[in-house]
Amino acid sequence: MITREEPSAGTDWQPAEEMAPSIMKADEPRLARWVGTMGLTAVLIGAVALMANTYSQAAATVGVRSAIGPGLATFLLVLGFGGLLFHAANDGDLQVRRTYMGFAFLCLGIGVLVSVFKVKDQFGGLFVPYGLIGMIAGLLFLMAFTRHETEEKWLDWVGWITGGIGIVAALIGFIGGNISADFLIPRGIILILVGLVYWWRYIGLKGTFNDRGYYAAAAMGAVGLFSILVALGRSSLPALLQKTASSYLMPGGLVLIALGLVYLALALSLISENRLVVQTRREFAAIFYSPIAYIVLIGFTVIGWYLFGTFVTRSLWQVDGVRGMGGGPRAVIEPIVGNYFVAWFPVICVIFVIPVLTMRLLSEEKRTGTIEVMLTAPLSETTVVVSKFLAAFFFYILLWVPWGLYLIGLRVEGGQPFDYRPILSFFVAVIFTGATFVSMGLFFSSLTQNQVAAAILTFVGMFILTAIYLLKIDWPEDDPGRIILDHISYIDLWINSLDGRLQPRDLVYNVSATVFWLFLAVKVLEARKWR
Amino acid sequence: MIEVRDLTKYFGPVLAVDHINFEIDKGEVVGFLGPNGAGKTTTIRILTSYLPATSGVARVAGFDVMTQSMEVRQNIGYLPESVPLYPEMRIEEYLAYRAKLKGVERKHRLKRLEYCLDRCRIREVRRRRIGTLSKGYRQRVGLADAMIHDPPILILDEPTVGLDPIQIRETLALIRELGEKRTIILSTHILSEIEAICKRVMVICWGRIGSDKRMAELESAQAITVEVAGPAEQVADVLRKTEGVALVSPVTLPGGRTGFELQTENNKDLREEIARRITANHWTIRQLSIRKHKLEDHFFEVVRLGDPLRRSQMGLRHDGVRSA
Repeated sequence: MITREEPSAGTDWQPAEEMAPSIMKADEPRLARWVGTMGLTAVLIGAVALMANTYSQAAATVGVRSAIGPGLATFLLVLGFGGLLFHAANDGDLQVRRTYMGFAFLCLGIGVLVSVFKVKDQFGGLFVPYGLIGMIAGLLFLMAFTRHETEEKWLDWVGWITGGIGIVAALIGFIGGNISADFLIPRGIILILVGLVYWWRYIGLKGTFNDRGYYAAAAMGAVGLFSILVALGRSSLPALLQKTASSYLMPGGLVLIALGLVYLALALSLISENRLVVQTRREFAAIFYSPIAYIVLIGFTVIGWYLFGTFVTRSLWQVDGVRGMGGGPRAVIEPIVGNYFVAWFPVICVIFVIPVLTMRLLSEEKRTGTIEVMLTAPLSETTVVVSKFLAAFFFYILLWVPWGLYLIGLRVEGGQPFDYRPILSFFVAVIFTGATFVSMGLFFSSLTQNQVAAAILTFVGMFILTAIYLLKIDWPEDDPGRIILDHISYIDLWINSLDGRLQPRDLVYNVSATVFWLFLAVKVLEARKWR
Repeated sequence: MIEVRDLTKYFGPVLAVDHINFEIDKGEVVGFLGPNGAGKTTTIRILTSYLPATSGVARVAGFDVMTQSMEVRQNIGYLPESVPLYPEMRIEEYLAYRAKLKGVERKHRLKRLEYCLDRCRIREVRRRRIGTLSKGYRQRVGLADAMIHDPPILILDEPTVGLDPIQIRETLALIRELGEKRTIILSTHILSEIEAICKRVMVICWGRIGSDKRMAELESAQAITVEVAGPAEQVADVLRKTEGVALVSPVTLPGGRTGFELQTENNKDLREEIARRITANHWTIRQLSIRKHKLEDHFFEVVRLGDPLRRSQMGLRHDGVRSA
């Protein structure tokens, strides 16, 4: 038994020695070490096999042939890097983490050097993809390092380097992009995004409590704002002064404005003291605390991949004709991407994903009682509801990003241009209908303390919205009921948007439905005051 | 700082708070006592603007809890009874988020955070996830959250539940120190805590304020215990007729003998007068002593008097005065 003196109530108070509930012994990261070793092996095998394949002629003269093809070698390399990263993130041992720091700087150095060299008569010819891969790998391993490092000196150094790379990459991207549109697309865009990630990491490292982190975030916003202003000025001034259309705006100027907006938005969300922004950030982070988010994200990505696969095979089949039946190339009706998106599969995915995404939003807070802590802080019911809606809505949008990336991949690999505008209008439709779904789920979640009950209610709601599409098919076209249902049915909106028919009234309908559900959710929260 | 007028709260047909009135000045540390279900937490929830009152007015820091609830929330630090926290967040992260939410200026935020980590003794575990903490630690995180924005008013609903004796002493010392400059409402079941740090005690039972007294007033209260060898009925009668005696109640003394406990008007020491009267009747005094009243006695008495059933049995009006 330890006795201690009563602390005096004066200002000479000293923090008493803390007695944590138990002594914490660092876990021996056995699994991480094992995975790391396997990763290292995979990297070595992959690298050797890749080299053997690249220099196959030279190797053949010495009598060496690789049993592993370039595809498998690349796969091994990626897998190995993943294993190493897992080890780096989970093993905080001094020697291990410092070694990984060295490895991170190696990746980073190679990435930067490769990007600067003159290859194929062009500076930075290897930036995409080799320089990029090196820089991203370097950042990931640095993140793993800073997770464990305790010495300020090292953290400072890593901070300076991270921040420095972020600023330099962003500035080169923005300035270079303003000089040459050829540079901007695609290398400038990638450089600016890499700069963004590094810069963000620097702020994350310092925290916005810290003056330095705060000013770094503010500077990020300033760069974004400046870029937007320059782009706007350069697009509009020549047109105004010389009455000639500027060739700057499309597409370079537009891209710069968009990237500037990304910088500005990120910076504002980091430094804003606005309660809605603070709360939305917490809610968005809270989604990622639960494993459900990752399961949904991975599931959605995999299903998208599968649909993309069938879409590509079917398109190839249509283009090449049926083998053996002598059919020649067949015309594919635009939008060819229509086959990719509107099928029953994605619809079923959405029906299931929405309840999973929204069920815990408010019901969990009610069950654990955290709603009381929230509503006795200076936070209004509306802020609570809107922040939760925004967080879930952003996550919903994030779910669709891989689907879009696959198509970009197809465009780059296939080399065949296709009409991309239906995709844009389709995503607009998906986003607007998504707002309706998420707000509906949020409302159902506000009704109960039970997540499962909320999920089932939302599922029923989604099912009804989907069933409308099937119900109305048999109705006569000019029946007023059918016309109303045509507008409510989100599947109709998706199909129409793929045809490029995106009617403002349908979007307005979704926005008002969202506001309606959110209003109800706010009232449910306020209803505790009426009882 | 806190002003409550005719506050009433019904939960459907259940009357939880019944026309209570009180005022708390700046810098007062007030203990809220009362049996379970007496209306303590409901009153506190109304004061924190989480629940609205059915009728009546409550003003906190000069702001109405109903119409100016944002200002009220800005001025209070509230530790709810069950200490709800987000289990998946790290302590540091959670406190930083709460500080932002409560509008602690960026320049002071780090300092406040460090101060609260120190004072609530959670610095060692600052990187731990809240879900992995024991009850005592969660309690302290809740307290740190309540004081992070340095509010002028602290409302603590059972802050020491689940703490070990050392932690209880530390926490009480902290609350006492905070109370030097702030107004604090401390709700608890543990009477010794209130005795240790509160300057004023309110006992709430059956939705009413049973008593509202300063600690100094309670400490001066005392009772006289008499044990006399003689016919009990007559002894009681004599004692009752003694001038200055307010209440005579029979008590069972150790050994199964019957004695009497006397309450005197203005807590006067009547031992000599009583001794004289008893000897005049030729009875023998076995014991005659004065005992300091404890908060516990006061609490039991108030709760006993506050019980409507008992009240009607004893023929008392609800303010504890015997009706004619």
